[in-house]
Amino acid sequence: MPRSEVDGRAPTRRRQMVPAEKLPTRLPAAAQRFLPGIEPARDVDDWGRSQRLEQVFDNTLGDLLYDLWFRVEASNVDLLPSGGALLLSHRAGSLAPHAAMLSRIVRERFGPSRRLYVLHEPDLRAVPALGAMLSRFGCVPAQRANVERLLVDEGAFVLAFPEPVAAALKPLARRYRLARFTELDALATARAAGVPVLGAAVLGVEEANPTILARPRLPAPLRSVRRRVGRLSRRFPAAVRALARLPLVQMAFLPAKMRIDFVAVPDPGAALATRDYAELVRAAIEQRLADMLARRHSVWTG
Amino acid sequence: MSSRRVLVTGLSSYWGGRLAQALERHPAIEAIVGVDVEEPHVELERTEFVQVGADHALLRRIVEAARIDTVVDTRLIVDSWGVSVGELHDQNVAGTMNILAACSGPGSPVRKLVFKSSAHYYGRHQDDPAFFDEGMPRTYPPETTLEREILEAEASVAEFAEQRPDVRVALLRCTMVLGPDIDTSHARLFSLPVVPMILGFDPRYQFVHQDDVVRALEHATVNDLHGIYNVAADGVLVLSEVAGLLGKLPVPILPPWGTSLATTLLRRLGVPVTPEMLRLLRFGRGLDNRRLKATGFHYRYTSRETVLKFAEHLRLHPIVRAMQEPYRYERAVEEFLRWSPYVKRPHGPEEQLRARIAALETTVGELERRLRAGASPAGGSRRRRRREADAEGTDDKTPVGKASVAVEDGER
Repeated sequence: MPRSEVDGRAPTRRRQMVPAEKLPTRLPAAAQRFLPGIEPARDVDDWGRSQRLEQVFDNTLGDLLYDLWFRVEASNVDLLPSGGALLLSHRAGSLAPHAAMLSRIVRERFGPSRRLYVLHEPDLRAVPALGAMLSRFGCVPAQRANVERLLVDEGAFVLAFPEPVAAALKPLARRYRLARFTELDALATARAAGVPVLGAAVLGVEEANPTILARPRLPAPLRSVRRRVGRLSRRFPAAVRALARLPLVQMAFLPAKMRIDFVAVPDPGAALATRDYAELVRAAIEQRLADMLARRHSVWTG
Repeated sequence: MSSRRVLVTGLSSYWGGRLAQALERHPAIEAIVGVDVEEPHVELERTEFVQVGADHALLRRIVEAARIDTVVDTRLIVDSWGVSVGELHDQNVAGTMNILAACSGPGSPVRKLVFKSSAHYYGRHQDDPAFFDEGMPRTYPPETTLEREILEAEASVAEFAEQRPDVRVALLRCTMVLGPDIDTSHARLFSLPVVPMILGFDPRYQFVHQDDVVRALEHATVNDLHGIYNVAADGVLVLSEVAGLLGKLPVPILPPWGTSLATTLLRRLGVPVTPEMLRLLRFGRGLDNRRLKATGFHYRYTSRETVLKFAEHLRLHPIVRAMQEPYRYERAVEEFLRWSPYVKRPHGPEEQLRARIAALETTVGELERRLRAGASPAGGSRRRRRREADAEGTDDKTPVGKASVAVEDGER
């Protein structure tokens, strides 16, 4: 048997990539209604989400964070449609606390049966314990097929972070300046299916989870060494590579006051390319953050 | 196109034998021919067994002589436990090509091919989608011998479908099968006192009951299906959940790195860990089963129910095993049972006719009894008759009821 990812090492051959535009057509519309039913006896759903574990989290740490630690206030919650939507938000550190806050907002608005699924990098699935834990809390690898099934077939709420992964490492001085959206698969899927897209501007999250020390900028002679190490690292286990993308040092959550505001950007349709529409959404979220920043008196009290 | 004359390959396999038994219940199928190197292991009533290998010349003679319009290929080996590389190749690749060659040819009567494949086609990696649908390709090239052989076999079937657009080709990709009668590496793994897992991973598993696979093959044979269909029950379980349903402890004894070294030791101890299983134990796999359901197929068991049924089998098997006698095929006995005029066939046409005559005699006897019972009072006879009929469970719309009402009206 060839030694490959079974041993946790990267495959020696290049990955067989299928460009998005060449993905095969989906199931006919009639088949989409044959989704599996819910089995009440089960605690874990088909995505690996554990209802029991989430309830324990909600009743303990979740309520503590929402009500006492971050003192979350949400605005424009009525923009959330009942049939599911794609929420786009900005990155804030490696562990985004606002994902749990947004999940609570969706649950409070639509009941305990409606949950928010959070998209994460597929590489994290290879990290022992982390991949399994993420799925227990409704985190799903960010792949087009997964997004299609969640948004289009199941009518779920999905939270995506369209900024590049490196945006999670931005220093505190550059907080609330959103990077250009590059992870556009989820947005393209939602637009193609006519699923509503909302921006979620979260003030306070980037102070709650600041990056104190990112990877230092090396002098020029050492950068070529790092490039060679980077090429070699492709042979490392996928889990190690995924962990290496996390910032070097990050503090635990600080008790910054959190305000969440939903932003709707009208979609002109096929006349506007997804990249351009993503730029509109990014600008709208950034503007809303700027407005909220202007009204804020204190990071800790709001 | 409705199938009337069916050839089943791999008749001695579990799937071939069970499928033949299922097809025998369809009166519209006038001929069922089964081929295999070994004799069948299930009792069959009207399936003609021909002991032959996968030689395409011999198979073609059978196909043409019997005017076979539907070929169902159930021979594909989908579990590499205890199977050599050579046997895998012979059965999966060479055997499939021979079957397809037997179905080809300018004068071939074959109009439908049903091919049983496996979900190993999709593989399993960290960045696989949560649910594979039929149109999705693999995300990585195949890495085990079994996967390569399955891909080659499916490629041969795809090529055949392209060359013969007049033939309906249905390809069924079955996920992990569990059941009381099917012996797979996963069934053996779940039969252990504990369920071994890889430390830090709790993969998603999807199952299908053995009966549902047989029904899916039957559905594809008797209906006009064309294309690729995933066969997997509703529901995707995590491995710890599976262990809980089986009443066993999930034990993460396999390390996340160096797993193949650890499994080599386990294999020496007799634990059936195949290369395909190792990846499943890490990442799992889910299939989108809606396309087959959209054709009218209904699964009897969900994944959870499949596991529960298997758990029940594990508990009862040690008790029931001693009471069951396995079927043994004897050609002379089978020929006597099939062709001898002295054998009373419970479902033959003569028996059906006798049953109908008996039912008519019963009806006539009932009418005579009512006539002899005498006329009833004029007023409300129809209403009283209805009350009596309701009490008896008949009404005046049945032949007995109508005749009784007519008698009552005539006497009035």
